[in-house]
Amino acid sequence: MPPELANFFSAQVMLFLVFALGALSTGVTMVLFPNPVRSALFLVLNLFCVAVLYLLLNAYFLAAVQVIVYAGAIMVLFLFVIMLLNLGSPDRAQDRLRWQQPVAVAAGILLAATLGGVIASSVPAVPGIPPDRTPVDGQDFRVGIGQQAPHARMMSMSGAGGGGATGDDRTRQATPGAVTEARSARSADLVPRIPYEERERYRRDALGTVGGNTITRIGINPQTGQRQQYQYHFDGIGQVLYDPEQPWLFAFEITSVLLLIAVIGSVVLALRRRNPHPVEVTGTGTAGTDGSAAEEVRA
Amino acid sequence: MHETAIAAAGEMTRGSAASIAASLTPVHGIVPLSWYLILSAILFTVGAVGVLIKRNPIVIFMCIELMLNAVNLSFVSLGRYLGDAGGMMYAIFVMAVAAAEVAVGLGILISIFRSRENINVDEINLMRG
Repeated sequence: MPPELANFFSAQVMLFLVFALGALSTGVTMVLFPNPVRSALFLVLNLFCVAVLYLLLNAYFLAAVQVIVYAGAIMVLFLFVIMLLNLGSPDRAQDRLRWQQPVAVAAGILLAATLGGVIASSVPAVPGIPPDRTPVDGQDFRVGIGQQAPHARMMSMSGAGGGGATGDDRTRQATPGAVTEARSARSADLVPRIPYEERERYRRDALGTVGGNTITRIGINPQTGQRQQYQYHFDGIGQVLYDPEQPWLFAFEITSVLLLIAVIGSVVLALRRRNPHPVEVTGTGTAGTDGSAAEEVRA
Repeated sequence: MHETAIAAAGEMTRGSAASIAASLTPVHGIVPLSWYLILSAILFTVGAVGVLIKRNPIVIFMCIELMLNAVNLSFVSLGRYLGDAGGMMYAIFVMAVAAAEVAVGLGILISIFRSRENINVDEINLMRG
């Protein structure tokens, strides 16, 4: 089998294709089915497919959260409300915007074509192996999107030479010529600041141990020399999330307050009002104020 | 072999047919970033079309969840390919906010259903109950 073809038949590519097709088909079926219960069940399948894609992206924690929180809790909430309200599909006859459906489909195709074209023409040919960093050892996380960065890195790899130079220095040494000089100088600003040897070690390790298939990744910690799991491991997520140096801690606290407010708000919204005819009694105030006033009187 | 292919890809001008083909071809048997992004774009579009053509607000909510998931997928894949944990952090926050949104939205739907026994979105055009 030629190597170009072998690229297409790795386990990762096959898994991606299977579950991407699954996600697409379940998403489209979800929109097409008129019955909301079936739509909800297809959305669960869709969420499972996306969870598998998270696994392929080494996002184990997110895959677990996707299945437990999304496919579990949130979809149960959806199904509960659908069955509580006993909704069928709404009557198409009272559809006021009949022209909206074909226009929406046409606009959707246009949107997908635009997004796909932009992505295909502007996303660089990333060689797949990212500059590996561990979130654990607290390096700086500055990242730039470099069109030339992967290329420059590969070029520098093909050059010979060892020693203790950092990645940026070594890139300049290994690539002769004015054009590549300029390109590597640019890439020095774009590539995250990681020591070159460290990056290379992760890359070789990923290629060597699992044959370029990065579903799971075991790396060697350069400080301790021990094997450990890198990137998107649960420890790393916690350390990044709660690191005071990083911006996530404050957002995390705000999100927890938001969840609390949402819980209280939904309880207040769904609370059954005691007053059976809130609007008819006065005719002036809103239903909410009348209901709460009646409750106060009763209390 | 692959190094030369990638070096050749670097020489190509951006946006040309050859560079598009290079960005869509797997290297080292690894799924290219653009595949994830295109999948995410298509899922997002399916969700957006669903929001527009559906008349049941619960299904519209589900389509919004689909769109949020598509965005999450692109966050995670970009974070993965840039080697940055920020993509995953954003995805976690999006999930938390989506959970809050679903709770409040379904509460609103229940209270609307109580007041008018019908939740066709075309009928819901008043702010007061």
